[in-house]
Amino acid sequence: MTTNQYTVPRGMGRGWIPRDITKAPLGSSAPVFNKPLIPRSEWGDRLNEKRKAKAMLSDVRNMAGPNGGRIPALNQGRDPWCWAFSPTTAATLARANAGMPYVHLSANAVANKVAGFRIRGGWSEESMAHMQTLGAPSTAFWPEQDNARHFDNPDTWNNAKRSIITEWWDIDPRDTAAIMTCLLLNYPMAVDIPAWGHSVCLIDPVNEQGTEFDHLNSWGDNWNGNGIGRLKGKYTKFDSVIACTVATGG
Amino acid sequence: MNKTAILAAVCMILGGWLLLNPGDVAPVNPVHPVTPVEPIADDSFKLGRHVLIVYESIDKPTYPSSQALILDSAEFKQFLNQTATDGWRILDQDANTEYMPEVFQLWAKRERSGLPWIVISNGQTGVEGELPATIDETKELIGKLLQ
Repeated sequence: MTTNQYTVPRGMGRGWIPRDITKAPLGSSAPVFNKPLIPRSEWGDRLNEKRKAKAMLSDVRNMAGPNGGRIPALNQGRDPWCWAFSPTTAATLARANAGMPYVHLSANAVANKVAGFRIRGGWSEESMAHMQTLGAPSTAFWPEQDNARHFDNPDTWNNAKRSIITEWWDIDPRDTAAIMTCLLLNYPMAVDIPAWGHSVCLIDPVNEQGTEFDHLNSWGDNWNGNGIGRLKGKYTKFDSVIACTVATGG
Repeated sequence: MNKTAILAAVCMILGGWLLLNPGDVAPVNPVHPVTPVEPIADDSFKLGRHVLIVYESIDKPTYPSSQALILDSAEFKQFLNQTATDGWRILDQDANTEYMPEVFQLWAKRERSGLPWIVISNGQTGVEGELPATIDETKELIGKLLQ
């Protein structure tokens, strides 16, 4: 771990802006999570069982990447596209958990399409709503850290249909029970963090109280050792929480 | 002895006999038992060594924790990589299979008598049934065809 993992590395962007609840209220583009919750009394046992069976999303990440290796952390570079990279990371992990072949998905394609090629901040719900309709293409069709318009062509979006999110949940950011339930069921979640001005993908609960979480960031594999950091304290006060449950894929 | 007393006595004797002789009463806790599986003749089983597990994401919170682990364990996925060498998927029943290999498209459409459900093939024959309750039981079931 770096001494202060919340410091934004030189040359890296963030890009979160508050969700516009007049335009995108909770539940406006996906159902609000209202499914059975895993009782709080089971969180500790479930967490221990998952660790023992190597059933955390970080475990899945470590074996579902290229050639059976680790799935690389996406890298947004200096652009303010975290709000597209966090849902794209969630989609990548949802595909991995289902056994779909690894594809390096292009969050730049998602971000540019949502923002209309205007470099701007945003929130994760915007991107997930896009991925539900158009999907995310492979970086073979739209490279990472590239915002060129010529990638926006029919071949790209034809390829993107192979990575559509077919089911996702909008979660009340204050609903710790829903967040823990989703994480204990390996549903990766894009979360927007006002204290950090950043959006990342939650992957694992750290404790049975639901007060600390590990996340996969979008600043590449070199960040913090392997791209994963820990959220606690004010960094667990989320603005938007999006759980990705079902992905289409090859 | 009046009729009511006689009837009560008969009920008590009968009830006691039933308690001591449960006969074919269903087991108390058959949490997703391993369905006895017999190989099935189906052309899709000739497409290779595959495994498909189908579940319902909305119901996943209610699955026994040992069964949810089957869906999520990286170690189990590694086991699938080594046994289902032509491919495997763990899919929500509503997942779009359009871009998946043909075998998963075919299997996703098969009739199922419950969820979660497992289908296994070894290139010659195959089996299907309710997903067992634990990782070990599921490995054992898969191992019968794929090891």
